[in-house]
Amino acid sequence: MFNLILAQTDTLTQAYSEKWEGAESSSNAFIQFMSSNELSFVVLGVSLIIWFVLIAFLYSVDRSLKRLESNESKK
Amino acid sequence: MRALKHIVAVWMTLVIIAGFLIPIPTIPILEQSARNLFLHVPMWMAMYAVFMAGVVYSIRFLNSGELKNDTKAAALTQVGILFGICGLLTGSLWARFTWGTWWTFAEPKMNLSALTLLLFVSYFILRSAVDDPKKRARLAAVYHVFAVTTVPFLLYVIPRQLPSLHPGADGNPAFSEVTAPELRLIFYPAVIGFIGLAVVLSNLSYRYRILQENRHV
Repeated sequence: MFNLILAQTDTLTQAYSEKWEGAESSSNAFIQFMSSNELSFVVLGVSLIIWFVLIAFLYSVDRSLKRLESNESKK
Repeated sequence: MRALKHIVAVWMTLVIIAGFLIPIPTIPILEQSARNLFLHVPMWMAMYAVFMAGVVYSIRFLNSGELKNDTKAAALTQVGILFGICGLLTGSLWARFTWGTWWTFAEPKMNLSALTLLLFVSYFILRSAVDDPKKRARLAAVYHVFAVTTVPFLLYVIPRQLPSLHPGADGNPAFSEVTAPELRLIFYPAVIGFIGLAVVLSNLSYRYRILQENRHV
């Protein structure tokens, strides 16, 4: 009885999907470029992602500060 | 804090330069993308660090009732989410060229880290739903403690029980078993550097929040 309940509630010992997609690689120009040079461009891409997220954060803090400053000067 | 940002600036510059220049052992499939270890993994370490620091301030708020602590917790959590997003996006790109897919629901670490981020995004949704600062701070702090307790389970315990390609998961050796010693020379400084960067950024956000709150008083 206990095992039956456990089997129904336990969703974690079963993987959600066994299928690893994408093994049949599509190869457009972008994929080919990124795969070249021993995957160096993947490292470049990763660096750029971090850079863009951080710069977006700086822009948003800057914009919020500007809003505060303009309210301050209206007072 | 003033000295910290200069130290972080110089430190991270050196780490990035060294990370690109040191010769690394070639592993099939990974090849040069193994250098992502210096970028992708520290994102998560920095996220853990600021999430944990954030919950310390939430607990401090619950103890003392000082709103300053709540503001600090919010600022740290915001930056944690920022680094989590970096981790997810960089992981997705890395996965495409090593595992062959941008995203797969067969990968527990990928999905559970996205879930973790959603838990912390809901921290901010909860905050935005309450107007009274005292009440908001107390609700947010209690939720924050709950959210942080799920992190070790979602990101360490469960992924290790399920089949996965991610290092440190079931069937895959963890970092300590597979990483070449020369990679560690850059990896540990990178972790320290990114944690420092996260602290600097959260301080920026904290100072802005304090200014904004003082305006409303």
